[in-house]
Amino acid sequence: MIDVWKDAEGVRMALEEIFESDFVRSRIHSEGASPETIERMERQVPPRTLAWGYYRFGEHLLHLEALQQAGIGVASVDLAAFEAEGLLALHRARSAFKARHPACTACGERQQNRFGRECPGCGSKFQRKKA
Amino acid sequence: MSTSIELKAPRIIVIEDRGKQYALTLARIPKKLWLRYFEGILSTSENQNGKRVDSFDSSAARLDLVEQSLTTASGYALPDGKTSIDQVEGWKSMLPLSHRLGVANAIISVSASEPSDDDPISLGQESVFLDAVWSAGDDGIMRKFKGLRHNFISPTSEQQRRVSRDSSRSRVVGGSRNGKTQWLGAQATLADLYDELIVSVEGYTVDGAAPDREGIVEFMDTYHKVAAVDVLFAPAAPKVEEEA
Repeated sequence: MIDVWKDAEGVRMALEEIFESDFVRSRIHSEGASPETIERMERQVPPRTLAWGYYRFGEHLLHLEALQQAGIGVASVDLAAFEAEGLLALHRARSAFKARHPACTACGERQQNRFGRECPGCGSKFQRKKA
Repeated sequence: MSTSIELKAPRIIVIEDRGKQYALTLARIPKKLWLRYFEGILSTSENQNGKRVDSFDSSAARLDLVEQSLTTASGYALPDGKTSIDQVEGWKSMLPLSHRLGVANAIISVSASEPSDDDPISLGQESVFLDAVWSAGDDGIMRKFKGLRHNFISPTSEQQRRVSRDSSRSRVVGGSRNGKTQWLGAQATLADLYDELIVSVEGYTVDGAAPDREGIVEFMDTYHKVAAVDVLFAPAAPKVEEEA
């Protein structure tokens, strides 16, 4: 039996799945997409692979993070140790997501991957660093 | 007929079965017993091909709660030589299963109801309304009490966080990938928050009088506390109109 709130690695994996599925979903309903395209993209939303408790605890951590970002501070003394560990797992998951999907330096839109040559949002050209 | 729930009085649940009435009396159910009931609920979720499949079973917990709370019952034929049901050893477990489950269903028959007043909501104070079955009246008829009012001070973000934290706690049985999630529930937290937030109630009495805050905290049924705070923390539905 696993106590989900103590399994920081499982929580991190669930958060990465949440980020990836939200990323795909955010691109689905772009203007002008035909129903066929929407259906095809819906199939690209990665399925959830972990036990459901991990996602629910991940949602709690996202809520905590949103409070902190809005300046509604949760004093660290009020955080349970497992919440603090969970927030660190959230930080790791978000960093990994950002590394996989870098933001366009011109418009901020997250890219499909690190290897694109042009931002689909604003058309900015990306330059590769020369080795 | 009383229009208020008397919190200190024993509860009499009347079951009608094949044209006969059976009255089952319950002692006041203490918080400890209610928490044992909540802990006994098996609420699980499974991941089946990426889809969530929930299951819920409270029958064992309900039966346990009833057996722990029953004090007497009437209407049943007794064995020869017995003049009272108390004289029959193990009488609680001899009651028909359907009667025990019926009693349990009656005491957990609590639901959110629409506000019964037309006043706008006061800032800094929130009211929750419940409908509930409580006890049979002197005429032996079970009635539903409607619009039981619980007035709270507005919860803080810290209290909101405690609800979020405790309702997100779960255990996984059978491995992190293929396992079944067992939800631990936040009812104990909700009951504690009730005591922190409650200001006054309407529709309840203690010894025939409206209870003060201390009386509410001490005598309010824990199931009603949990149900009321659950409604308090549930998001209100925005009014959305379909475009023509």
